[in-house]
Amino acid sequence: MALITGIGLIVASILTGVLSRILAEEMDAWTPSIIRSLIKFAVGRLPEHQHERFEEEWRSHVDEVPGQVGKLFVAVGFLIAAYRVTLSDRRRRARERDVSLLVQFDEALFSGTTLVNLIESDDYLASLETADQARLLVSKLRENRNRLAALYAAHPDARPTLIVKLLHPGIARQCAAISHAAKQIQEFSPECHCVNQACPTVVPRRDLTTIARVRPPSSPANRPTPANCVRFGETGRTGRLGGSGTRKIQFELSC
Amino acid sequence: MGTGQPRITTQTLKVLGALMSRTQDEISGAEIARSTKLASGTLYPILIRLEEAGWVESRWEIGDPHELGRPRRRLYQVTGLGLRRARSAFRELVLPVKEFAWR
Repeated sequence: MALITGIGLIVASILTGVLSRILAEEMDAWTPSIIRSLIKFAVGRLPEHQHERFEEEWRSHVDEVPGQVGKLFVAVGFLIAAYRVTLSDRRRRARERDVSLLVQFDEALFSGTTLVNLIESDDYLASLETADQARLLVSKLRENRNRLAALYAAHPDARPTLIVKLLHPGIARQCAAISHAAKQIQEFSPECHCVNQACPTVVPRRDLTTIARVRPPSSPANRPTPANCVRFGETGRTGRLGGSGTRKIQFELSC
Repeated sequence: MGTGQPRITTQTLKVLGALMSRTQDEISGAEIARSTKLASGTLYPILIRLEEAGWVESRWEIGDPHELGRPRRRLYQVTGLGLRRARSAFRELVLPVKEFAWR
């Protein structure tokens, strides 16, 4: 019995030796092409202007690393690097795009203020109900625009798209309402050329149920029920942004 | 010139430390990885951030890849701005430790 076990052990060790040698040879043969593919894939994830540079740089980095396993680890690391670079690039671009919307809101505010000034200078227009609405809307728009700017300033690392999802639709609606008020004013006073309203056009049209979904998934308020739509849409919104364990942003929107 | 201030983390300080230890020389990403023991997935996003902020500059190694027989290395060097900012970042880091030690 002991002899059989001994022979078995010898055969097993020989087989293990042969197999590991074959494996090592296979790995030697395959690793360079796996590394090349990994680098190519990682570079493909990067912003386009960085493709050429990092393809060469990362190939030279791998060249300097000794051992096939080490090279493989470094190449896998490039995938993580590419993911991180892409993520931060995407966030930066989204932020730049969103912050540029503030300029459009400023233009809308300017037009709205011009409209209010025109109304104030005309006794007949100032007495109209639409004039009161326009004044109120302009003041709310200014208030919300300033809140949006304050949010951008206070949370430089926050995901701006979330801020946009929550605040821009409301502000855009107010802007559109001012535009509507301007049209009504013009009906009463055709010589008033105040319809030149610059409402942001790039603000994505999101309905109130979408706004509700931005809230943490665990929150009951996340469900796009009619009650939530009323709550978010008509009586103003207060709440917190971000899921559990993430940074919370307090926001408040005057409707 | 740079675009804003990069986030200062322990890893960023390690990279800056490696670059500052050889201000006269330019070093490749692989050498920085060796001296800082940072993984490539961490190192390159930091280098890109520092370069965008103007703290670090890079250039290709001189030579033709065909003649060299290998891909060219990208060589990094800390800039004057990076040196000043990194020193102040290190000072801010060291000061609280000293204060604590004297108590």
